[in-house]
Amino acid sequence: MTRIVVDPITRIEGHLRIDCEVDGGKVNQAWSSGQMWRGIEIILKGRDPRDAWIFTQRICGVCTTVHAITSVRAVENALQLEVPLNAQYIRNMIIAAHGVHDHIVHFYHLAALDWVDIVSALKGDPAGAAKIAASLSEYKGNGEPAIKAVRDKLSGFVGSGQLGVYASGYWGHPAMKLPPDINLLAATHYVQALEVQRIANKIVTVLGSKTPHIQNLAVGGVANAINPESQSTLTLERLFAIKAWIDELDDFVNNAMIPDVGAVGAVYADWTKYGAGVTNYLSVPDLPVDTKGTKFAMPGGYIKAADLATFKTVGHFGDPYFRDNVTESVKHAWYSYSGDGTALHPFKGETSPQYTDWQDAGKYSWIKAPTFNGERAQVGPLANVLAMVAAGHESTNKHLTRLLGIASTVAGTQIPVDAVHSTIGRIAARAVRCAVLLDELKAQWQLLMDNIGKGDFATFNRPVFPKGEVAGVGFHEAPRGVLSHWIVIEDGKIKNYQAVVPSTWNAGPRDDNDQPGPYEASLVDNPIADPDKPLEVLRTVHSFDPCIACAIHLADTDRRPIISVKAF
Amino acid sequence: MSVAVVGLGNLILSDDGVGVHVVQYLNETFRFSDGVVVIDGGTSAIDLLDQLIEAEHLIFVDAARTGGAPGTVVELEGAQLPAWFRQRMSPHQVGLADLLATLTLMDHAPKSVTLIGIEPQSMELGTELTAAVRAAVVTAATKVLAKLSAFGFDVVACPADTETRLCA
Repeated sequence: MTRIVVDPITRIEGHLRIDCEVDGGKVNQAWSSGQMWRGIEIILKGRDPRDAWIFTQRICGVCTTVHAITSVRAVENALQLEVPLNAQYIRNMIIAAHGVHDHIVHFYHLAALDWVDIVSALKGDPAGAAKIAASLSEYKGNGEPAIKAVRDKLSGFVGSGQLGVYASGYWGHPAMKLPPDINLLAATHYVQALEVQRIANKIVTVLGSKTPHIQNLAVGGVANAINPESQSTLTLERLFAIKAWIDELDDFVNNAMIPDVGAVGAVYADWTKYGAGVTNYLSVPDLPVDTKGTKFAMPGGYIKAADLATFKTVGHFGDPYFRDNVTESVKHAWYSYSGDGTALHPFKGETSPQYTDWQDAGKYSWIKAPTFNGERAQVGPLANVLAMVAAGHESTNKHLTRLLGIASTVAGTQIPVDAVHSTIGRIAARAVRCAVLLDELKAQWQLLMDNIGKGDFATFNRPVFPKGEVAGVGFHEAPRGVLSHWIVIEDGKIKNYQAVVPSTWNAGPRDDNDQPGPYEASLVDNPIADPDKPLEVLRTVHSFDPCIACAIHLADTDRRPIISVKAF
Repeated sequence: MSVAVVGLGNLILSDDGVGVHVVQYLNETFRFSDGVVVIDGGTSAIDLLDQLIEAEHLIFVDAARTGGAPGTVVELEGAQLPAWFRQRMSPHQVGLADLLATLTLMDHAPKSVTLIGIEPQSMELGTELTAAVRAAVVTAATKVLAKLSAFGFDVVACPADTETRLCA
């Protein structure tokens, strides 16, 4: 038996350590340990709730919009404050554009190098790659000259020894299975994706006034003034520029990204057998299309044990089905709780560090273990896609069916929907969600134009804070999953504030019942071809799109990955 | 010719955010000529791509372990940077190294990259800089201005509007 420690996991945001016990060529137990934001209430206590979002958005430099939006929603929920339709549509467009950006970057620039061998790509034939590409779609970037240009550019880059972003790949690893021409096609799209993700970011910048760290939010709406006549407001010219960018994104996502994920998934179809882990799925609805947050363009809710028939919807902002059933356990985390020490609801959240050294059966992580109705839940695009399928969401069904169809054609065998409960399934679901977000981005743009066309220019409702105590929860289906902010306000000032971020749900340690978290459970039975090069561990962990950017201040400034392997 | 001045760091982790404090100070105190953009980059990296891709020269300001006392300011350029990245002295470096490699891959490598690093004292949760690091903000800003001047850009001191905290 061998113990592998990968610390830190690279090509993610933030600091994460994964330990695996390997026996007979596969993982039989795993531990996930990382950092999380603790004590955000320290800097927020006593402040004006209208300012909270300016601080909370600094929690993460990658997902800068999500904490801002969740924060204003928490305060709006506490005040039962309605948000004008234009503000909802503008926020929704920011959410959708940011999500598209995030999912593209994750697949190509964070996950793809676990499956695509760049060195092998250099041996690919541009003509062969173009032929495969043409069989999958009519994407305009698939021409042979474009592919050859990328191959030549990469040769120069890799050859110069300045491997940079490619430095942490596992070139030549026995688990790399793509033929050189497909590696080359994927590498071409990797380079093109760098341009495409800029376009998605431009949409966020125009609507948010800047990125990172948008400026345009307010409790009660947005700060964007709408006046089709004025140059200094959100003009029609800017709105039509956004429309043009949306169309460019559409071409790439539907004609390059979805086919890429389908083709890669087909070649690695054996990875549909690994990585299921926790198959209780939690997501929340998003893209509110009314002023009260009771109607959403994208549904969400809870699915138990991979059975879509159990789907129960979370129906509205502040829905007690979500609000009352979240708790966080610290039994296996380096914190202590008052009272009997059992899991606490975020409104009563405590963050008192209690460091012990690493104890496999005791405490081993700085991340708390959240549960929903006492059960572990996986969050993220897979949870969201499954909820939307269960709810009969048309766009989701369309894109999922198409992606499975492409994968089945390439694999030469029918790939069932059940295959999504896996490492490869998470990656596929993220691509599907990206395509769905693009459809929604178009729809929200149209809703905004139609509403302005009716002469409605309202974007803000002024919040009023009562005397006494009010509490609220804001939730958001962020690119990595369910994000929630929990605020208690007393006499107009913040009394308590907790953030439960998506990666806490997924990366958390064992809970009060010693049940493993999603990362830990998903690693069990993963094959390990070479314990000194645990590519398979990275594949599964990266499929979750970890973002633990929050905490990360390490006194240790040496960030070279340390893989230590101990044989027992 | 164009220059982008980018302040990196996390504003709610005390001295980690010093780079952002420096660009905030610059924006409140000076007016910059066309061709200079001064950006609060927060803790993002690849997301800055769109704003940096047209810049010929990049100047980054960030917290960095220099080996000196808190508040020590260093200036690194060009060939000094790859070695610096290998030592990973700043928490935001991985993103920064990837960003620069990406610009090269996209045929938009800048003509020069300068890094102005400030030794942090505390990176605990908090919105304020420690005293030694706060004192270094003006020093670091002065180095930025010197660099801009060397590139031939004018900078004009500008009384800040007390409400907007920007140049009036």
